[in-house]
Amino acid sequence: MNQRKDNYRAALRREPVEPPPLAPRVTTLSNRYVRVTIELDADVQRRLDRWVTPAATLVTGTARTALSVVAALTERVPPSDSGTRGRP
Amino acid sequence: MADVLLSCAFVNLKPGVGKTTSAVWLAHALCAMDVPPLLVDSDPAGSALRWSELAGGFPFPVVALPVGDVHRCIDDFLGGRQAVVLDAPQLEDHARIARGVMRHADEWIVPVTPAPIELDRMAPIQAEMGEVQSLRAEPARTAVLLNRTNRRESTRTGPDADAREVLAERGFDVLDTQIARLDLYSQSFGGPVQVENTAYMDLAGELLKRREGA
Repeated sequence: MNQRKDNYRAALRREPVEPPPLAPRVTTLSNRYVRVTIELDADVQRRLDRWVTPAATLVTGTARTALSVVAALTERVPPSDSGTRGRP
Repeated sequence: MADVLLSCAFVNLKPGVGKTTSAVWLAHALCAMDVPPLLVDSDPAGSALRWSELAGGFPFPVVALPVGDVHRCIDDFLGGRQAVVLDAPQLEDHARIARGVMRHADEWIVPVTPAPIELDRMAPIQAEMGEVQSLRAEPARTAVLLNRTNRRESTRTGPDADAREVLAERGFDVLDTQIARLDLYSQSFGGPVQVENTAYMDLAGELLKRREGA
């Protein structure tokens, strides 16, 4: 047999690197009569983070802007009784 | 994509396998065969562009496009040229740019030295190529270019022949032309390129013939 050719063949047969499997989160709910086991895919958290974080940021930003606008408007309106009391 | 005769990219997982050298020499060969090329340097290292600068310019334009949407930009620079040669960056470090290059090129050429350490990268390269093929309207042709071979011509025995045989066994299309390990190529960076009577003229001819057959 040709050793070099065998080495070449072995090199070409390299398997692709698989990512390690994600361990699911397991929760068990049980009472006297029923026992329920829930397995949550570990990737769910990552997906939720991906979708929830931008939405939460948007809501927070909008609220902050609205409060700023309200605060600015409030500062512009003078108190209704300022400068009138005490005049002769 | 504009109607060009040949659009080929040199791709590999790793740097230092001869992508830039092959791209520059092939572009010169196409130019010598009256197929005016555009050389696109998509490697952020910018070696092809630097080579052109050091050599006082190439007889064809060189543009640096180290961007992920390179496939959308190239046509703006073609100017009626019939061939595009793309120097892609290594996939392992610049996957987005390399994939953009592969989305444009109709022919992907993988330069490989006949040695186990380089053949060991072929499976991941093949997987990557499969992924990019799925992004294309039409599949690209793929070919292996035996580079830095021990002999100038194909032989029936020896490392070059063994590499050719086992690559073909695994379904790779190995180009007939092979590029020998010569100082002529390895020391050529930065200087003018005299391509006549070199293997790169054969390579250009073979690639154009493949294009006609496709």
